[in-house]
Amino acid sequence: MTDIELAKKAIDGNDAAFLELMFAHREALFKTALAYLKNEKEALEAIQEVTFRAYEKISTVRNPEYTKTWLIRIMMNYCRDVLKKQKRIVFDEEPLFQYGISDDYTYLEIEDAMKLLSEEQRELIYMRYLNEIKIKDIAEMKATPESTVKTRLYKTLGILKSYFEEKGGIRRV
Amino acid sequence: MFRKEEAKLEKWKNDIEQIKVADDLLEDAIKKGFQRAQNTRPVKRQRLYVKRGIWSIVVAAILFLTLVTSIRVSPVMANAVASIPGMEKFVEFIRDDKGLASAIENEYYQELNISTEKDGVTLTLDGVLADEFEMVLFYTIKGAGKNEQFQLSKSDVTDNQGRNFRMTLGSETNLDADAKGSDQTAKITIRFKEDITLNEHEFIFKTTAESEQRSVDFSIPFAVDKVRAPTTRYSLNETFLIDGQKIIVKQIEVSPLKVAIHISEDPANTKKVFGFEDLRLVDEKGETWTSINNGVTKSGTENENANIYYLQSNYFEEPNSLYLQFNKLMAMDKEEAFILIDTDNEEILQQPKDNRFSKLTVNGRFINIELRGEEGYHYHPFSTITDASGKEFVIISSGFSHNSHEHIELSLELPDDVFENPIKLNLDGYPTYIEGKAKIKIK
Repeated sequence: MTDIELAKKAIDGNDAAFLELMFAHREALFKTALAYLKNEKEALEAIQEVTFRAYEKISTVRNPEYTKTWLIRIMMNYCRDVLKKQKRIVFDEEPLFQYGISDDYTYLEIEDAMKLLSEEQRELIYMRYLNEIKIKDIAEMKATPESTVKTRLYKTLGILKSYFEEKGGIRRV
Repeated sequence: MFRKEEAKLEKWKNDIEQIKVADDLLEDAIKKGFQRAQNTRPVKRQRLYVKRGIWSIVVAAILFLTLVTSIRVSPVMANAVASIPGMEKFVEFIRDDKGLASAIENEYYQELNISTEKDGVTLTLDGVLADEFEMVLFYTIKGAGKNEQFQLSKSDVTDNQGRNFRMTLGSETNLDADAKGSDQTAKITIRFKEDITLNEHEFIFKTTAESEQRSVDFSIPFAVDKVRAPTTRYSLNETFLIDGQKIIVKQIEVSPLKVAIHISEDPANTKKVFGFEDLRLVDEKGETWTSINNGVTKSGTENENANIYYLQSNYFEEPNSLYLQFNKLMAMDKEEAFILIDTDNEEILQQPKDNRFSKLTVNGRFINIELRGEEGYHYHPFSTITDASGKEFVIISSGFSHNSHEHIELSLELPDDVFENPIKLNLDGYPTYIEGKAKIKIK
C-alpha cells in the first residue's frame, strides 16, 4: 500500500491504517518533537499526545497527500503549547550534547542563531530543513502562495546568514 | 545564495537525526495515544474497533449493530422517561432499548445523585440500574464554566476492595453536549462475571476526565440498595430443525435489564451458526422485543456449541402470552469457515467458495482485507488465528469500516509473535444465511 492509499484509509476511519500511518511517520514526528523539546521523555509524551489529537481529527483531513505535513503541524502546535505553558525559554541551554553525538558546534550554532527568529520563521526552518517538506507543500499547508513562502524563507536564511557572518567577524577581531 | 547556511542546517538536521530512540518506545507512545483516543470515543459509530482478549474464559462476539434499523423506544415511553426528574438528559441513551426504558419507567432506576468536585470539575453519578447480570450507570460531567472540553476515559467499576468483576464494559458519551454548551452526560454498562453476589457489595466508580490542559481522576463510592427483582427462568429444551441443522433452545432468563437466551447447536451439525438475525420475543398483541442494538448481543460459553444471545427485556411488561421466534440464521458450512493466507506473498490461498475476500495486504503485523458484504451485514468475521504449526493466536485488535454498502474493509493486528506461514483466519461471521421457522411458546 502506498502512503497515499494508507492515508486515505486512515481518513476513512480505518484504525489499523491510522496506526500504520503513525508508525510510518514516527521518526519525523519524534525528530520534530526533539528539536522543540530537547528531551527524549517529553518527545515521547508528545508522540502520544499527537497520536491522540490526530486520531480525533483525522477524518477532517481533506487531502491525503498532505497527511505527513498535517501531522507535523499538529506536533509543532503541541510543542509550542508545551513550551508556552512551561514558560520555558525556548532555546535553553540543555544541549543535546548529553547524547554525545556532535563532534563540532554546528548544532549549537544553529540553535543559537534561531533564537533571533520569530516563531513563524523557526517553524519554517523546521519544516523546510528538519522535515524536508517541499516549498510547494508548505505553501499548501499554510494556504499561502509559494512565492510568499519563498520570500519568507530567504528572509529567514538571511537572518541566519548575517548572524553567522557577524559571529565570524567577531572571531576575526 | 544561502548555500553555506543550508549546509549548516543540513548538518543540524543530521545531528538531530542521530539521536536514536528505541523503536518500541515510539511504538508504545503511539499505541498509548491511540488507546486513549479509543477510550474516549463513543461506542456508537459506524467504524468500530474491538479490543480482543478481554474475556479470559468466555470467547464472545461483540457486535455493535448501530446501523441496523431498530425498533426504537416509542415517543410515549421516551416522554415518560424524560418526565422522571433527572432523567431527561439521559433519554438519548435509552432510545435503542425498550427494556431499559421500561425498567426506568417502572421505577427500577435508583437515583444516586452523588457529586464530587475536584479542581473545578464536577462529576455526578446520577443513578444506576442493576440486576444480577449487569449494571448501567448514568453520570454527568461539568467543567469549571470555561470552554474546557472533557473526554472521559478509563471508566470502570470495582468493588470497595478494588476487585474488578466485570466481564465486559461498554460506554457511550453524549458528545454533542459540548457543542451545545451543556454538561456532558454518559452511560456505562458493565456485564458481570457470573461469580459475584451483588447485594453484598459497595461499589466504586472510577473515571478520568481529560481536557487539553489536564486530567482529573475521580473515584466515587456508591451502593446499590434497590431490592433487585428476581430473574424469571424458563426451561425449554426445544429442538428445531432449520435447513437440516439442529438448534436447541435450552433456557431463557428474563431479568430487568436483559433477556438471555441459551442456545445450543448439535455438534453433528454440518453448519456453524454465527448468529440469529431476527431472534425476538413477541407477545399476544404483536409487540416485539429484539436484540440489543448497541452492545453485547452474544457471548460464548465454555462449551463451543452453546452460546447466550441477548434481547431487550420485557421484564416489566407481563404479557399474557409470549413467544420466542426466529427465522433467519447466519450460518455456513463448518468446513468452509476459514480463510487461509500467505502473509509473505500477500496472497489468499483459500477462502469460502463465493470468494468474498479480496485485496489482501500485509504490512508488518497489520493485515488488511476487503470483504464483499451485503446490506445488513455488520459482523467482524474473524475470531482466532491458527498458524501452519497449529498454534493459536489471539487477534490484538481489529477494525471494521464500510466503504460502501457492499465493501467492507477489515483490518487486523497480529500479536508480536513468530508464526509459521500460511495462517488460517477462522470465521465468526459471514454473509451467508439459512432460513426456517421457529416459534416457541414461553408463556
